[in-house]
Amino acid sequence: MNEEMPEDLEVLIKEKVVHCFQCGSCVGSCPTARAIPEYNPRRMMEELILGRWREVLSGRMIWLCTLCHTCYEVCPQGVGISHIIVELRNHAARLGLAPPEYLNNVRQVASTGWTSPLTGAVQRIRKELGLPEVKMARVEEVGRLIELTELRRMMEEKPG
Amino acid sequence: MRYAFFLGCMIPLRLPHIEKATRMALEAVGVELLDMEGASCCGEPISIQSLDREAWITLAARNLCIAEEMKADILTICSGCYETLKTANVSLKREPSLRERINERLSAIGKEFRGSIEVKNIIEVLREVGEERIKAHLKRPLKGIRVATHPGCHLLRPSDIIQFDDPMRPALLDRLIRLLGAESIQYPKKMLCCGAGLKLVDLEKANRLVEMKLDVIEAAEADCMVVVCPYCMIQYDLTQRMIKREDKAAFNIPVLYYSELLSLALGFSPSEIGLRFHRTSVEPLLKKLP
Repeated sequence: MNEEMPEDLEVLIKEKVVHCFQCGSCVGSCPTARAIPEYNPRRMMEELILGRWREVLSGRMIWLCTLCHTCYEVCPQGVGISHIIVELRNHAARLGLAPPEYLNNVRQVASTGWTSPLTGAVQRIRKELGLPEVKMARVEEVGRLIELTELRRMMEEKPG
Repeated sequence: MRYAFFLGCMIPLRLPHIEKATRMALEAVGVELLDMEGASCCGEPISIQSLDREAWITLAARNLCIAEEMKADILTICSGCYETLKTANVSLKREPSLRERINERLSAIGKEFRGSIEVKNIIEVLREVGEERIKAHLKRPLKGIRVATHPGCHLLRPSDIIQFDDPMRPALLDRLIRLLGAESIQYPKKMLCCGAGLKLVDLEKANRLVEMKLDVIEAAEADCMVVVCPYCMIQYDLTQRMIKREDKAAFNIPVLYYSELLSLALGFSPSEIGLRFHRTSVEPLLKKLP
């Protein structure tokens, strides 16, 4: 990766990340860190402060956060780590570094309006329970809006 | 009391029995549910938020506009939808420049965000119904039932947006459990995330989070677990069946969505609310009901 640091990433680090004083409250409260010991949001903040943003964006760690926002609540410095992780993922995605599973979810929403297909089995269960038929999403409106966002380019670059 | 009923994807398309129990229970206590014509996926809090946050807000805003046209506040029954729609609604009301950018996109489909409605979760709406009114409808108080609540993450956090209950020590779901005559037990790791957000990239470790939680709930001798989000429901009800422990028998902990437990207390039968569609049998709980 040879790109220059995007301007808004630089602002994010200078205005938010630098306030991290490395106490580790985020790691101590993090569900992912319980399941994956090498996952460490404190170290991620340290890497950013030390200028290693390329390594952070191209690594796997940023995609392991569950977005539970516990670190957001417990951080004594108000760094807002889970929000920073969302921003980092957005930057990584612009550079074509998003996991393909994420892009497949967008394709599903763009083509059906939903994240899941409506299966025959579920239609039968709905009928058996006396539930109304599922109302269709206005998928053409959803697709049109997606066309107006950065998701369009991301989906073109990484098919399948 | 009427609400634009935002179903999302997971409940109508994968867990329709939760939709059934929710409709029956809410209507029984006097909440009118209005279907939202043309509503879609909320905006999707995991993939789409992570790829392009403004796209996430844009898709959410379209759904908010539908409720604005209906002149009704939104009731969500999925915490993923709740986080998404609430974040969009609060942010678009707070940030004029964001609102301008999103409204420019919405104009392509003839819509405009005006900021005229609120987004609420099911616990919030039941509190508005009021404890006295719910109590008056109870036909089968759940005396002696030990419930382990799992409030989940996005019902509560990030708190500056969500502004509902204490983000780390919530009490409102537990209160609604006690209202039904049941006991809400204390247990360790109550605030541990279900791990749904990790599934896409590391299924095995996401399952490990489920196992950690079920271990402590089993040790606490709960009769069931209660959730308010379909992602948490799938994690604990379905994934529970996939977990093989080396030294112990398989888990057998019934997992109910709050409106299912409420339906039982309101006197609805397990068959009419489709409890048979749970992956982990709810029979051990039903046997204990008074």
